[in-house]
Amino acid sequence: MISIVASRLVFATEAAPIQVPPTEEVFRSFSDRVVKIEVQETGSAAKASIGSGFFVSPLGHLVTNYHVVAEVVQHPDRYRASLSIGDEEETAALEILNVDVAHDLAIVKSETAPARHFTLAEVDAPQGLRLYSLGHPLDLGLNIVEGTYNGFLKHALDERIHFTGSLNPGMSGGPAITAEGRVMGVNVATAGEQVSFLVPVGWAVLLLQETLSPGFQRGPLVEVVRRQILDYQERFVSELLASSPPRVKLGGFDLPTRPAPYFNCWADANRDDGVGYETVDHQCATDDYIFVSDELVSGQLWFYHRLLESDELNRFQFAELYTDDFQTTYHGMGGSESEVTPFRCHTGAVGERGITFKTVFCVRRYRRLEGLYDMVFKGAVVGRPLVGLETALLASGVSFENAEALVRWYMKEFSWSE
Amino acid sequence: MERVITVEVLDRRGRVRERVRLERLPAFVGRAYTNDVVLEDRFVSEQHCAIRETESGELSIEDLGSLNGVKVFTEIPSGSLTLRSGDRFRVGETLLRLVTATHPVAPAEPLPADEGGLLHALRDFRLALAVVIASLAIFSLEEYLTAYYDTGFMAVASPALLGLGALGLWSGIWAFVNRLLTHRFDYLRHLSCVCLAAVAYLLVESFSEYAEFIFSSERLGFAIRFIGGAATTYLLFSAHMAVIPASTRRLRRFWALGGTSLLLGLASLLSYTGPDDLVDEIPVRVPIKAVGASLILPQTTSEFLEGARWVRERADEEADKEDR
Repeated sequence: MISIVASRLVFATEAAPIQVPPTEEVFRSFSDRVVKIEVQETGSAAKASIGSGFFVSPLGHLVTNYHVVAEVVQHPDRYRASLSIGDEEETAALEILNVDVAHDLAIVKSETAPARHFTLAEVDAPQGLRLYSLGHPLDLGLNIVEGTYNGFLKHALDERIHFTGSLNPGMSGGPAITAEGRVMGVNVATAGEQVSFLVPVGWAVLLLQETLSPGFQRGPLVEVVRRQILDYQERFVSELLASSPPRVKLGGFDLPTRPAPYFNCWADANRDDGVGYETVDHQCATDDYIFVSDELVSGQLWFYHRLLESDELNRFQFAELYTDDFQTTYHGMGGSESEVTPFRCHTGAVGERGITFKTVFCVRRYRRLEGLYDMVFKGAVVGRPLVGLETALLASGVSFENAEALVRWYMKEFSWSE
Repeated sequence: MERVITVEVLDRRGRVRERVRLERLPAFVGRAYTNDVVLEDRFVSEQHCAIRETESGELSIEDLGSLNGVKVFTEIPSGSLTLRSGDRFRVGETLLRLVTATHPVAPAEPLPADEGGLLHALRDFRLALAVVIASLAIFSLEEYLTAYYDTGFMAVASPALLGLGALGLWSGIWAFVNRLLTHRFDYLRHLSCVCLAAVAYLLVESFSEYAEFIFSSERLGFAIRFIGGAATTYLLFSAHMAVIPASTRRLRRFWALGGTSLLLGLASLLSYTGPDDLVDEIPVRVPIKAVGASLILPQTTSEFLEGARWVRERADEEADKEDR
């Protein structure tokens, strides 16, 4: 069956226009290589989450997303993973062998050998190529979704394939394949409205190779996750520190903006009726993040500036407004008490290039991942009547040294030019 | 030498209500106006008893056939009763005490120091009223200087009036206690005391915020607020107690201390918002003030970060302490 499909495609590519096999044929050919992965709580045997995975070796190795099995990695004592194929009730236990938390991949192994499996290899494809994504959306049974390959994401720190097609929860970890059964990527995320993302297969190839290499030893997975996040942040922070961001002008201040292509920046000015002040906001953030667990994401970096001005309030009223606005901090990093410690903050005053800031530096640590912190740095320019400038730099999942280095790098970029 | 003998009419608590100096002996006690000591007590007979001097010069009391009799609180044989100075006896419902001129009295107590000071001056209701009105003006000014969303008259005046209302209620309680203990209200004096304390606390708080702004130390701010708050509260309680003239200095100190601890305890209970381990909040207190920025001694970014290293140690400790 495989060979038939393959040969027809070879034929098809030779003689344009391409003839695409019907979707039902693709489904029939490859559905038995895709499994449902279920994570259960060991105590209650209750289903905690579901996802998908696919066989990539005759020995029973499967590729899935790290986030599908994250609970098992983080709490092996409380959760276990199992797989089922098709509509079968029977499940088989899964062992997690290796993870790539930065690319949201995991290699798991089933004790039962599969009848057939996908062979992973790097692929190159033209934009617009038809892809078929397989998985178990919302636990409704195995499903196939047609879509198109739209190249790699621009403005992203990590490579992701832009897949135009509807991925739904539960399809995570399933393969997105070409008609002839070559895996292009692993279903990972969706932005809704047909905008979905795949992990390029190349990363799965590397992870599988590492896992299958003779010298491979399965270490404690939490430690593997910790190392990978440390490596990841080291990579992007050092790249950032070497950059010299362009400046944006805000009320006489020259401020850093979009330091790298993978940042998105927005600006907005606001003056509500009946309020005696106006605000101008400028913010930049990375789109990328690393899923660590259900309650914790990492690897994000963003910063914002807010200019506050008033021609109606008096100095004292303005100072009160400025205080209230500055003390309100939305960090949006999520995290639960079981994952992170509370924020601890140090307040002070910093003077750089003639500007005096009131500053706050806060960190919280990842409880299980030693050496990783979420950081919030805030500054408020003081000494200018009826003008306030607040700025904040937030980073999740960085080493303390990098948190400090980021603040130093950031503070270099402020100046006053009016 | 003529003997000076006084009969004291006591109230139920044993305090002297009336003193009658006996002009002659024997002296008569009863309800009729012919008596030397005339009592208003329906359980007392017209001529109830007589106080006599015996041949040996002792004083004795004799029941003159009264309906309800005489009860003497001393060691005496029945019939004609011998009394010593300071002995008490009851006729009807009235308690009496007999004292002679040589009866010792307690030494004089010094006047409370604050009599004659501000508290004394506040007896003048015009001054007390002026204090209350000035305080209201200060509350309104404070309200006006911190209102940035709505600086309208009502937005500024209503919280100030509401605050004054709360202080008025507080003073009312004190005035009521005052009335119970000394039959006087002194409401305006109590109100002016608490207004002064509120203004003092406003100053303390403002001072602490400026200190935090300039020296970037939450601890310093907290210390100022705590010490200033405790001192203000103590002074307030002392003032209320002093306005009630029946209170002695020791009593005043006791209640002022007790009241301060109670109020501070209550305040800390009310401001306690659960254990300080909310991961979704960033606990910062960074007051920014309109003046004083030039007094700030800023650090370089590196110096600031060096000073901030402790947050890492704290976070590490907390992460290791309880690996959940």
